[in-house]
Amino acid sequence: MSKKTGGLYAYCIVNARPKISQMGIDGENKVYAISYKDISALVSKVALSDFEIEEKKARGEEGMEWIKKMALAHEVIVETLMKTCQPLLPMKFCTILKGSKQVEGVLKNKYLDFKLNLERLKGKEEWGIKMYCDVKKFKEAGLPSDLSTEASAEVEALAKEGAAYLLRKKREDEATQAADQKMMDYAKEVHERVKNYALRTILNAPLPKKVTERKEEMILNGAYLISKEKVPQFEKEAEGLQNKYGKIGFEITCIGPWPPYNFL
Amino acid sequence: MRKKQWGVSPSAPYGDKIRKKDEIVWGIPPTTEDREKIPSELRHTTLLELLDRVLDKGVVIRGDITLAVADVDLIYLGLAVVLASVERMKKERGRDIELESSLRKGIMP
Repeated sequence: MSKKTGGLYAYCIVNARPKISQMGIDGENKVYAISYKDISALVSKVALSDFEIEEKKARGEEGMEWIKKMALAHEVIVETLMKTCQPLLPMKFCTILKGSKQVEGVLKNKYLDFKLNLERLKGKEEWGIKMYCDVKKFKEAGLPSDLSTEASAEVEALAKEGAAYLLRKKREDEATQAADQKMMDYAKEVHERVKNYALRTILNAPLPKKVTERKEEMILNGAYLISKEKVPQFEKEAEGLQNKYGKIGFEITCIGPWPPYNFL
Repeated sequence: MRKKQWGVSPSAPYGDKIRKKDEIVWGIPPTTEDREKIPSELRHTTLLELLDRVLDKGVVIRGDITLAVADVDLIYLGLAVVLASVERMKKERGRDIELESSLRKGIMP
């Protein structure tokens, strides 16, 4: 009896009259533009029931699965739209407005904000550099050996087992600290080099292993705003660094273009 | 008209449970050509790496002009990710909203 509550799922803000042909997140309704002056919001009709999830379920495994599906679908749509609409301001995941009147209201209220941002991002791309370290390989390849030989000599010289253990632990801790520091030095160098090609940079917290599901530690997580024409040089620099440091246990990934999440 | 199904590479960590609706995978461009347009990192990135961007950043619209969660707040709890959006929304808006009741219904595959 009651009509299904519907809304408009918003994907991004672009300049008006965009060329788009894209299916929306529900797989049924297409993405279309709602405009105000010379900007548009790209939206698609959705039923609220598609976004309902029992709160208890949301907190568990099912919640994660739900987010996986939806966030991925969202991201794919925005990235496809990005092919034909540049510049583009991506919306945060799961922004659903009540109707076209509300969308127009947002465009009107935030017109200057959006317009300014669009202008600032014209002809620029966001790229991400992530750097990982295979700690074991790095220690084997990079760490100076003098620390370990010094340790074994001292250990042999000591009579008491307890003191020997403590000393060994101390040496290990120092070695770990030295390795950590050295790792960060490499990360810093990579960042300093690639940032030469960027107009703006954001350093984000490296993601923990439980998130990346990798055995290597992430030591650099940078986002770089680059003029389109400088992108090939940026990529080449990253590739060069990967070739150089790959041998001692590092991996540098250079991925883009991303919707400019980090530069809004 | 034959609708093509988009399949995700089995090696992608998130790939195996995309919901299907009339053979068109939910929200995903259905044709193979479109699939090629997807940046390769998306195919191999763990979903939780998307936390870095789409789940955490982007233009935020707040207020009663929105229907659903505009602030998906994800907290790490050991290895589980907890959705704290309802509590957060309540705090921010200071009142019960339609969404809260709809969240109590159980649907989802």
